[in-house]
Amino acid sequence: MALPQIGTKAEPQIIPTNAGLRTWAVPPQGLQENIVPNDLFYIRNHWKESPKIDINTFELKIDGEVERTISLSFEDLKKLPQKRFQVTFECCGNSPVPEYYTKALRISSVMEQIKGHGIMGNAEWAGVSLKDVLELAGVKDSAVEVMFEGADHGPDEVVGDPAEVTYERSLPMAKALHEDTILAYEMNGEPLPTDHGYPLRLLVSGWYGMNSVKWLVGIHVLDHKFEGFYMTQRYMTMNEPGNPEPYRYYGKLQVKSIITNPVPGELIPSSGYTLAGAAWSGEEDIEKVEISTDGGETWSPVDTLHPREAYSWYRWEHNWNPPAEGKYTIMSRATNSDGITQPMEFPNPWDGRGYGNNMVFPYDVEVRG
Amino acid sequence: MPIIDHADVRLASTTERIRERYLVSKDQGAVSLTVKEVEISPGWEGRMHTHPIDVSIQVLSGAIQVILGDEVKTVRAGTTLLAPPGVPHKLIHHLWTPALLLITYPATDLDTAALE
Repeated sequence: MALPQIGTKAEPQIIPTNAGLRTWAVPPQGLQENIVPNDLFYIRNHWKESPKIDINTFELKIDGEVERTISLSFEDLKKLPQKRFQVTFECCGNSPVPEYYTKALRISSVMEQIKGHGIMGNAEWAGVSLKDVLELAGVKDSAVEVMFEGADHGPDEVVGDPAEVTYERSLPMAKALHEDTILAYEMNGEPLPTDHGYPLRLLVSGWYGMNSVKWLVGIHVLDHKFEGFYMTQRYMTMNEPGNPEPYRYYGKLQVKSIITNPVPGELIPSSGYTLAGAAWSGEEDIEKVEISTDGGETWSPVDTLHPREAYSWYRWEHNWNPPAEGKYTIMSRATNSDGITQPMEFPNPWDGRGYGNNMVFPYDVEVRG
Repeated sequence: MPIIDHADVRLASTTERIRERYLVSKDQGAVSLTVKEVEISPGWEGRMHTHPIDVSIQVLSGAIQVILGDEVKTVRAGTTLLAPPGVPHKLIHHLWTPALLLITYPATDLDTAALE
């Protein structure tokens, strides 16, 4: 498929729990198109070296609470009915915007390196329904969760403890058996790039990115809740002391919107400008997107809210004629089909690291000329 | 001679994201030593500072990050940091779970000079 050429590169990002060269963010211009090209799509891997898997010897094992343990080759998978649709997802560390969540704290050098909304993307994926694969093995009534094993492993990337751990995540049965939870082998019409899980990855439509295990080699149907390292020790934030639940975990995407036009630093002409951006809520539809150009005092619905394709983001545009030259704080605010609107403040300030951030983002722009 | 039963001294919140308990202090009759446990939760950032005396920081569980120049080093359980007199140091915590530290210094009170 023809993809737009964008004259800029994916940028390495350090997020608070990442030691570098494992996270690459989409540049601001890359978020302006509906499809993010493969070479700009965000990467968030746990080890610097991606597993190299030979497609000719590749095997996907399905075992555990199943009638038959089976092993599928890549050719076996390609024979199953193909699903092809767009899915948008983000890392739960996306949009860390330090100046808002470290209000009470000094911003250290590590925090200044994280910015923007680039740890996300939208692509067209092709693969097979996980449900079809599970049906080949026959899921027993005793099944509680499905655990997905990646071929990537090593020491914990920041702390080094544990010294050896495999990237594994699990899904509840309802999500695992949803026909739009797929095993993807194509991304934007090409075989999955190595850094995106070649030859096969899980794709959990409408959920945060860390659920979509790359370099998938094992599917294990469990009769219990999986409590592995990447389920219980990572990808959560701490709740305020006294909360009966010490940690908050992130599964499905929350309602959120971003402004992509203008890009940071772009001047807005006083003759008028078409603001544009994206909004999404994963499993839910977006009901409305509103714009404020006066720091959240007044809001109006965007002029155009385009429909989404499958699980893609919604794109929106809004014509703005600024009343005068000067500095403005603009914001976008989305509401989903459950009636949930983005919060004005960072939703879990106690932890302070910005994970799961779906707040309304104030965006300072300048109108000149 | 005081026998300090750890079950009698609970970690108590002192500032946001910090809980502490003194195992050896002037309250137990010490005249030249302090030993305390400090639990630091994610999202905490200390300030660059110095002390006029040695301070030892042993990581008992979890991990903490220390700023050395422009570099952020992560140190975990099984590690002890020595902050010698006058050497600037700063701890931050942007990891996943709380870190438990054992802090020891040869005094009953600790002077701290903030550098930022």
